[in-house]
Order: sequence, then C-alpha cells, then structure tokens
Amino acid sequence: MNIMELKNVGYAYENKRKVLKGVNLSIEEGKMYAILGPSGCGKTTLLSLMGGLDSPSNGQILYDGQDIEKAGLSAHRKNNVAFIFQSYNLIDYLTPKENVALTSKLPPQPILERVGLTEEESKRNVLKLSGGQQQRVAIARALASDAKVILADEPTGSLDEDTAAEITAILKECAHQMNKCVVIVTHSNELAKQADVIFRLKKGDLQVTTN
Amino acid sequence: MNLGTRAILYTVRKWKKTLLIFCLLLSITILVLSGLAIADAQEKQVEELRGTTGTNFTVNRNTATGGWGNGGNGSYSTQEYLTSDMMEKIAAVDGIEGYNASIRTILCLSDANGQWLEQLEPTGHSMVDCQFYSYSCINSEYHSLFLSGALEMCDGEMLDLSFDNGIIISKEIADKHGLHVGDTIQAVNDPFSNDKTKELKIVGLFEVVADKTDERNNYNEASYYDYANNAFVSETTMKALLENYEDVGYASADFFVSDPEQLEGIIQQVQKITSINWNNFIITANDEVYERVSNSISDTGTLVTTLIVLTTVVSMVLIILILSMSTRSRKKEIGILLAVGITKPAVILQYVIEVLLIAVVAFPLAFLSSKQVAGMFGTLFNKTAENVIVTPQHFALVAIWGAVLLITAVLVSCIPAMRLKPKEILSQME
Amino acid sequence: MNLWKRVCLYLGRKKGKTFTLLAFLLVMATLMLTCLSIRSATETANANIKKALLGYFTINAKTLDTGLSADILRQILDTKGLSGNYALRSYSYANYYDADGNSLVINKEGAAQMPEEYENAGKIVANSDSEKDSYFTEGGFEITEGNPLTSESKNAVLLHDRFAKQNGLSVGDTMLLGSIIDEGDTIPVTITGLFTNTKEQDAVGITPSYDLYENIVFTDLSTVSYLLYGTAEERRVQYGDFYVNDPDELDRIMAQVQEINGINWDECTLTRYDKDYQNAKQSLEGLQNIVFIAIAIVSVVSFLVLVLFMTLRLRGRIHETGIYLAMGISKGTVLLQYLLEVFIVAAIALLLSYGASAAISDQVGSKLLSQITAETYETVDLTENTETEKQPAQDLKLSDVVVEISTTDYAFVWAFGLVLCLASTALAAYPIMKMKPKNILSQMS
Repeated sequence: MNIMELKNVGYAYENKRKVLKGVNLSIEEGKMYAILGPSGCGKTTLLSLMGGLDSPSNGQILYDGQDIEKAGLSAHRKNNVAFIFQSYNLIDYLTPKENVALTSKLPPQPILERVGLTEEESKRNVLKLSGGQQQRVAIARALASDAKVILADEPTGSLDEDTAAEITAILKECAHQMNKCVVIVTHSNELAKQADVIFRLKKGDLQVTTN
Repeated sequence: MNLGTRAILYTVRKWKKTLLIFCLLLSITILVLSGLAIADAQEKQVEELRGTTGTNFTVNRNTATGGWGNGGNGSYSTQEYLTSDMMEKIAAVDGIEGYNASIRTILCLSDANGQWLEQLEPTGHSMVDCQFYSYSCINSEYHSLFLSGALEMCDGEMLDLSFDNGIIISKEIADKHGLHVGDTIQAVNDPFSNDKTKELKIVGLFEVVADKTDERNNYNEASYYDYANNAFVSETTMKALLENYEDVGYASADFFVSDPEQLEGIIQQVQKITSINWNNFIITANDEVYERVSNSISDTGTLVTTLIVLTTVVSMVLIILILSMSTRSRKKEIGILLAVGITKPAVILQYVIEVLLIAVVAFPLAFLSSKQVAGMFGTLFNKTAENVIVTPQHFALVAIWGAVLLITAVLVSCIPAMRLKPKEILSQME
Repeated sequence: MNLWKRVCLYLGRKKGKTFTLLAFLLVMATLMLTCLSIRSATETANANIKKALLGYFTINAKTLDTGLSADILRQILDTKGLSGNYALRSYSYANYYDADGNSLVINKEGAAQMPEEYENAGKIVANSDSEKDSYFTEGGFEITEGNPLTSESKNAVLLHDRFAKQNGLSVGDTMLLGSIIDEGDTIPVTITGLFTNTKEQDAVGITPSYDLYENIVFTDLSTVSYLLYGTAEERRVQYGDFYVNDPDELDRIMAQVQEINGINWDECTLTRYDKDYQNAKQSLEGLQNIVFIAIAIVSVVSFLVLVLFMTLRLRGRIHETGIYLAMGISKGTVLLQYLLEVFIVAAIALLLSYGASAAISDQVGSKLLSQITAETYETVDLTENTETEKQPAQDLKLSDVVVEISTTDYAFVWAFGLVLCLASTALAAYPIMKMKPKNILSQMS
C-alpha cells in the first residue's frame, strides 16, 4: 500500500534554477528508503516537500490518496509525517521527555526507553546529552507523533561510526518492526545499503533501485 | 503539550532571560507611571502657583455716569454706592475666593477707661493725637495694606464678617499703651457730635514692614497718618459708628479669584448679575503680577510635559526593540515548532502569553514601587513633592495600553520569522 | 583575522542586531540630551519667574543732605544680582511763576489748610519714568496731552490740565519753578505735557493746598535736584528703587550695597519689597521640585535600562564566545572585541542623537514655548464701560527660554554614556568570561 505518492513534482528556486524536475515516486509503510545523491542535487529539498515544509512548483504530492495541500501543510506536518534532522533540533528549554511530549500523541517514557534512553537521561537538560543520545530523543519525538511517515535528513551526519550504526538500526526497526515508512536522505553509501529502496537523484531526475 | 504549558516552561526554564526582561519591563513601567504622576502634579502645582499671584478685579462706582453735588469740602459724586448685598452677590460667583471693601474714616480711640490713646509721635494737641486712620474690613486679609506686605500680622487673627466688634491695631501702639490681644478699647467717630462710642475687642496686632517715611505713598491722603496709627475694624462696628451719616457706602470693592485664567470668565459672569445696575459701576481687572509671570509659568509646564511625552514615546520604542530582540533570537525554535506541526498562530500566541506572564507580575509591582519612587527621590535630594501621586487611573491606563503595546510588539517582531516558509527557517539554521 | 576585522564584520553582517543596538542607544542618548536641555530651559524659566515677580529694595536717602549722587548710583548698579531695572525719584515743593516771573494761581478749593509761604506753591514730584509713578499707577493720573517724563528729560514739567487752563498755559510754554526758601532762586522749565486725575481726591479734610492734585507738578530729576540740593548738573536723588533677579538674594544685595563707601548709610533707610515673590515662593519651589524629580527619575531609570539592555544583548553571544575561545583567542581579546563593537555603535548613536535632540528642542522652542522678544506685560482691561486705561508695556528684561543642547551637556552625555555602555557590556561579559572554555562549548552544542 502506497502511503505517499509524488507525481511529476518539480521545484525551482526564486532565481528560476530548477532543482527538481518531474520527480515521480511512491513509498510504502514498513519499508526504509534512502535518497542518495551528490551535494546540492536537491535531496533535502525533496524531503522538505514530502514533509510539507514547502510547496512544489509543479506536480502533486499525495498522502493516502489525498493532495497534502488540500488538507493543509500544517496538518500534514502534525499528523502524517515526522522529521529527524542532522543537528537534532531539539528545543533547548525542554527536557527529552518534554521534547517528545511536544508532538504528544503517545506517552513519552516508553518510547524513550524503546530508543534506549534511561529514565534519568530523559529528565536531563537536553544540551547535556551526547550527540547519539540527542538523536535518539529526536527519533523518539518522531515516533511519539504516531505519524506514519518518518523523514530523516542526514540523521547520522554528526555521529561517529558506531553510534551511526546504532541510530541506523533504530530507524530500521521503526520501519520493519513498527511498520513506519522511513525515508532517509544521506550521502553515506553504508547507510544506503541498509535501505530497502534507494532513490538516486541526479540533476533533478530520480532513479529507483531496489535492494 | 499545549502552548500554555510551553509558555510557562520557557518562562521558568529560561529564568535568567525572563528576569532580565522582567527588570526591563519593570523599570520602563515605573518610568512611565512616574511620568504620568509627575505630569498631573505639575499641572496642579502650576495652578496653585497661578493662584498665588493675587489676581483680582475691582468694582468701582462710576463717577462719570453719576451726578455731582456740592458740599462743604467741594463737589462730590452722588453716584450710588456698593451695598453689602451687591458684594455678596458678586462674591457668590464661582471662582471668587474672597473679597474686601473698606470704609475709611478717622476714629478717636480710647482705652477701656475712656482715656484717649495717644498716637506715636504725638503733636501735643490731645484731640488730634487720639486720631487713628481707620478702615472697616469685610475681610482684612484682602486689604491692600496687608496684601502688599506693607503691614504684617504679628499676633492674633485677621478680621472677617464673623467678628462683630473687633479691631486690629499696631503692635507699637499696643506696646505704648500696654495693650494686648483680647483687651477692650473704645472708638468714636467724631467725639464732638453725638456719634456713638463703641466698645471693641483687640483681635490682632500688626507690624509695619514698609518704609513709612517714603513719600511715594502720598498720592493717598491716608499717608498723612503713620501706618502705625492705622486701625482696622469690623464692618458692623463701622456701620454702627457712622450710623448718623447718610452718605456712607462702599465706593469700591476688590474681589480675588483663585485662578487667574478664569478672570475674564468670572468678570463676565459678574456682569450678568441683573440686580446690579452696571451703568453705575466700573470693573477693572488687576492681574499685572499674573501677566508678568504667566508666560514663564506656562513655559515650565510645557517643558515638563514635553519631557514626559518624550519619555513615554521612548519607553514604547524601547519595549518594541527589546521584544523584537528577544523574539529574533528564537528563530531556530520557531523553525522547530513549525516543523513539528505546530501552527504559526500557536507559536505567536505562546510568545504573547510568555510576555503577558511577565507583565502580569511587572505591572502591579511597578505600580506599587512607583508610588514610593517619587517620594524616595524627593527625600534623597531634600525636595518635597507631596503631590506626585500615582493613581489607580494611571495604572489602569498604563496596564491597558502597555498590554496592547506588548502584544503588538510580539506580533510585529514575529513577522520576519513568520514570513519565511518553515523550510527556509530550517535551512537558515542548518 | 585581527580584532578590528572581526568587529567590522560582525557589525556589518549582523545588520539586524547592529541596528537594534543603534536604535536603542540613539533613543536613549536623545532622551538624555533632551532631558538635560529641558533642565537648563526650566532653570531659565524659573529665573524668569523670579525676576518677573519684581522683587526690589528702596534706598530712602531723604534725610541725607547730599542725596544719592550719580557716582554712588553707579556703584550700586554694579552690585551683582541687580536685574538692571531701577527707578529714581525725588519729592520737593516749589513756587510757581510764569516765564516773566509772575506768580501763578493754585487751586485752594477743598484744602484743609494753606500754609504760609505756599500761597503760590505746590508739590513737585520727579520720577525717572513718570508713567510708573504711584500717582499715575495707583492715584489714577493720566496724560492727556504731550509726553510723559523719562530719565532723559531735562528742564521739563507736566502740569495738571486744570492748573494749566486756569493759568493760561499750554504744552510748549515755559515757566519758572522757584525755591520756597530763597525766593529769588528759580529754574526755567518747559511744559512738555498735561495730565488729569480720573479718581476723586479723597478729601478727608486734612489735605494741605500743596498736596491737592491740581497743584502737583511733575518734573525731571535734574530740575528737582537743583531745587533740593542746589545742583542741576550733578544729578542727585532722594529715592532709588532697585529690582533684583532673585528676591532670595535681597538680603545679600542690600548688605553689599551698604558697604559702598562715600555715603553715610546710617542716614538712609533700606527697605525690601518682595511680597509677590513671598506669596509665590512656596508654590514656586514646589514646581521646581517636581521638575527636579522628573529629571532625576528619567536619568536614573534610563541608566538602569541601559545596563539591563546591554546585559540582555550579550547573553545571545555565548555560543560565539565559545568558538573564539576554542580557536585560541584570549578572553581579553574577546572582551575587547565586544567593547569595540559597542563603542563604535555608541559613537554613531551619540553623533546622530545630537541631530535628533536638536530637532526636538527646536520644535519645542519654536512651537510650544511662549514667544519672547522682549518680555513685556500689559494689564488686561476686560470691561466695556471704561475708557481703556492701558498701563504701558514694561520691559522686564527676561531671558529667552531656549531649549538647546549645551556643549557641556553633550560632552557629559558622551562621557557618561560611553562609560556606562562599556561598563555594562563588561559587566555582562563577566560571567561568560569566568566560565572555562569547556563549559562554554558544552553549553553551545
């Protein structure tokens, strides 16, 4: 079942430079996708569009068969998708527990434990956690929103090899065991190898490879 | 998590920043409240100052429109006199704080035993030496000799209509004859005719301040009598002493107003009194002192008001600057909240609530402290300013407009962040 | 990259932050400058009020044989604190003759007595400004023809119109004034004006003939000096009224005047007249206090706000500070960078604030304050049934109340403002500076 579909989606910056040209793709729950490509090819832009952070210049983006613009981008971000960023982007004046509670559809503590944070760590000042721990909180926040689609922009970009592997494992779990649809933007081939499907972006065009 | 919770958590967790903004808001609010109180106080003070200029108008009988008669001392006017009744009607007009009219005559004074009281520097003729140039007073406080400072009361009290048989004499005369306030003396107008002698009680003593030998006063024949040989008696006394004479009345009366700015209006009101035939009387305004200082006084008022207005405007600008600075530093946070699906209005409302949380504490605290501030500054620099009072009205004004300003400032400062698409905010941060 | 470059880049790239700081400092500096210029202006207004209340003292030298000579007068006028307004007057008696030496007829009706030797004489009044003499201001006299007498007048007289009519005299004619004691001693004078009385002379039956209004002649100070002291060239007077700037100084001024040599002060009486001022004094002081408190509060709170704002501003730069320290730049240099940034912006703000404050002051001065060219006053006559009895406008010699920024004020705001900006920045930086770099960095990530 396709949870999201992109139909002929294109995006151009203000100076008319086309970053995406007629992208077509579809994603399913329960699978982990990787978007690969060189720097500046539009990966992050594609992810942003899927997440309703911006609107495409042309084309349609459907969620559960409906155009996300119709339902409202804000509602789309709230209910359908959840983001994870390279620089974690946690709110500095909220504890891990509270950061998770920000999207508050499910109780935070079990989810935090699920991603590997102790009760004590959950109550600490967010800035006092290590990079890996902060990213776990971000994932927990995404899970707590109960969104079906998780969009991750270079989630392991700031982490060391071992921690990166841990995080990748968690994301895989989200997809295969929790039936989420996880889309990861990355330039790491290692991570991409772990994905079920690879989207390669080259000069605005998409290439699909299944693992 | 709802936005109310977020607002409270931000305020509490970022307490240092909250405290700084709180102190700023508190200081600025104290400034504005003090300013309002000062503006009010200055207005009152200016009004009070105007009132000290002794502005008055004189009602004179108009000899030009009256007839003339001939008598032993030459021609005299037969124009009607002012009556007590007329004067009371005039004094009843709003804005008049007091009045006086005097009948003048020469009285012969004697002590309780009938012994003539001798003037200062007697000539040797006993019938001349007991003569005192006397004025009857409706209100001796408003008699020109006291108002001009030529004479000053040094004991006892002033005469007004509540005294029936009172007299004020000079301290020098009292000392010369061993008299004090409360003693009884007698007065008669012309001892050689059948004028009544009346018993009077000394109610006050005056000192002579002016230079009695200065010939400048000689335009007035009263100057033939040394100031020390003047006396003031109550109205009823004079009327009783002169009851044998017909042509006795008030040729003029002076009415004093509390606010010189109302003078013109008051005079117009007075001229509307129909029971007085204004053809027979002239009104002259006497506001020279006020005219001399009014410009400078209003200048002072203008300057203070300008300062207060400027301060208030500056305060508003400062609030906007401070809040915009605070909001702009939270750009990343706004991006995250938007990315997580929280709507723009919700974010703005959260910030508005945060500011209002601070204001709810700062405003009342500012009200309470500003009540003390003026007094504090006053005593610090040895200046009394009893009338600088911060009223609840001031507080209400500042609280309402302050809240409006704060909310507007938050809204305005959120605009730049809100105008960007969430994607742009995030990419600006990454 | 050196310190200066970092400073300029920060200010240039972070335009928003720089603008906010500039706006803040500009507004504060303008407020302070305007506050100070308003303070000086209120001082001027206050001094004007004191001056306009016309406090003065009178020197009565009637019993002094020599009177007040021109030399003594000059010394008196040199005393500090006098406003420059003064009046001189003398009073005497004289026989009246026409130009040919024939005695003139005086009015006898209503006089209680006509003393011997005064059958053709009357009172002489001399005033450096006849319009200000008490006969005119209080006694109801009015000029009907010709001109009043001033201190410049010489050998001039004003006659009562009935006296002139009775003796067939008119403006332009000459007559003689003669000493009562020495009948042959006369001085010629020209009639330069006529006056009349608008109020009845209250005859209580004690007025001697020479005091009857009709028999009074006004003359100039030199002429009466001749009659009293025998000198017309060297003018001497009996009385002098000297107005002061601040009536609170009257005691000091009067004491100082009595230290002038060359005159026997025991024979003179000095009296102070400042009742109008005394009446107003408490209220005036109340007003002054309010002004003072206003300025004090504005000043103090402004400084407080300045310190708080600078502190708030600096808190947002912890991250940046950490990076500098991590890069190896010393704490002192980092502090210096922040101070320099503030200094540059403050300097610009202070420069601009002059213009802003001057514009405000100008507006206030030209639009709101009373226009004073030469501050004058005229009594207001508000009734319909009088002939307008206008008092002449008197030049009070008040100073213009100007709202302007003095150099001292500007220098003060510069000095104090800069010190405060730098001090509050340093103060705000102190906690950050105290932290170990490690802590700063961990606070940032």
